[in-house]
Amino acid sequence: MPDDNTITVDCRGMSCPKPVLETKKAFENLPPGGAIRTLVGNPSAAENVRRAMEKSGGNAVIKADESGNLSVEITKPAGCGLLEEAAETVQPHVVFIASNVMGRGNDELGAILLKAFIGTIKNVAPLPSHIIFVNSGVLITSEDSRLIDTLKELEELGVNILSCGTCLNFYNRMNDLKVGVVSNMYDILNTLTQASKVVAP
Amino acid sequence: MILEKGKIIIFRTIHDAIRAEGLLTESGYKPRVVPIPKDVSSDCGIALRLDANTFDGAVDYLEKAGVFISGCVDEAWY
Repeated sequence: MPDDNTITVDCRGMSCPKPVLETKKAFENLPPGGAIRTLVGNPSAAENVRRAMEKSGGNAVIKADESGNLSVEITKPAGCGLLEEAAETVQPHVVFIASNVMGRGNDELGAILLKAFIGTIKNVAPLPSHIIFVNSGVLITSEDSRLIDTLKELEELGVNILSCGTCLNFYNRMNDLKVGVVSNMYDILNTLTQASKVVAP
Repeated sequence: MILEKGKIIIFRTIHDAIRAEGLLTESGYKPRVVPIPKDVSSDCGIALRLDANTFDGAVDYLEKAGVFISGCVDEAWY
C-alpha cells in the first residue's frame, strides 16, 4: 500500500488522455516497490489510468474519499520490468511479406493496412533480423513511396531487407529496387528456416 | 533515422483515412500511415503522421477537400 513516499500526480482538470500519459511518465521513473497516487477529476479518467497501469505491470486501485474525490493508488511490484528485459533476449524473427496488400478482401484497405504494418515494425521490440518481400510484395521495395524511407530506417537499424529476384524480374522491376538487396529462393528459404519465428501480415 | 516528433491526424472512418492518404500523397505531402496511438483509442484504427513543419498545411488542405478530421495529437504521445 502507498505510504508517505508515495508520489502524487495531480491530473484533476486534465482531459483525456493526459492523466494516463502523466501517470505513465511517473510510473516509468518509479523504482520497483514505489507507489504513485494519481488524482483525477472523473470516474472514466480513473478507470483509464487504472487500466493503463495494470497493463504496464503495476497494481492499481481506484479510491474515493468521503467527499467523493477520486484517486488511483498505484504500486510497482518488485519484479516489474523483468518482462521488458525478457523481451530483449528473444531471438530475432523474420517478417515475410508475400503481397503488396495485407490480408484478403478489399485491396484498397489491404494496401493501407500493409503501410501501417510496415510503418509499425520499428516500434515493436525486438526488431526482425530480416524482412523478405516476394511476389507482389516486391512492388513495395521497387517503387518510390513513403515506405522506402521507413524501410531504409529499418535497414540502418540492422534489419536485412531482401527482395525476391524472380519476382522483380517477373514484374519487370529488376533495375528499380529502392532498398535492400536482391535475393534468391536459396537465401530466402535458408533465412526462413533459421528464424525463431516467421511473422506474415 | 527520423528523430523529429511529428503530428498525427486521426479520422472518423478508415475511408476518410484512405482518401486523405491519397490526396496528401498526390499533392506532394509525405504522410506516413500509422496505427492510432493506443492511448487515444484502442480501436484498430489507421492515422496519418506528418512532419511537424508540413502538418498545418496538410490539415488545411484536407479540410478544404472536405475530409473530416476527428482529431490531432503529437507523436510524442505514444
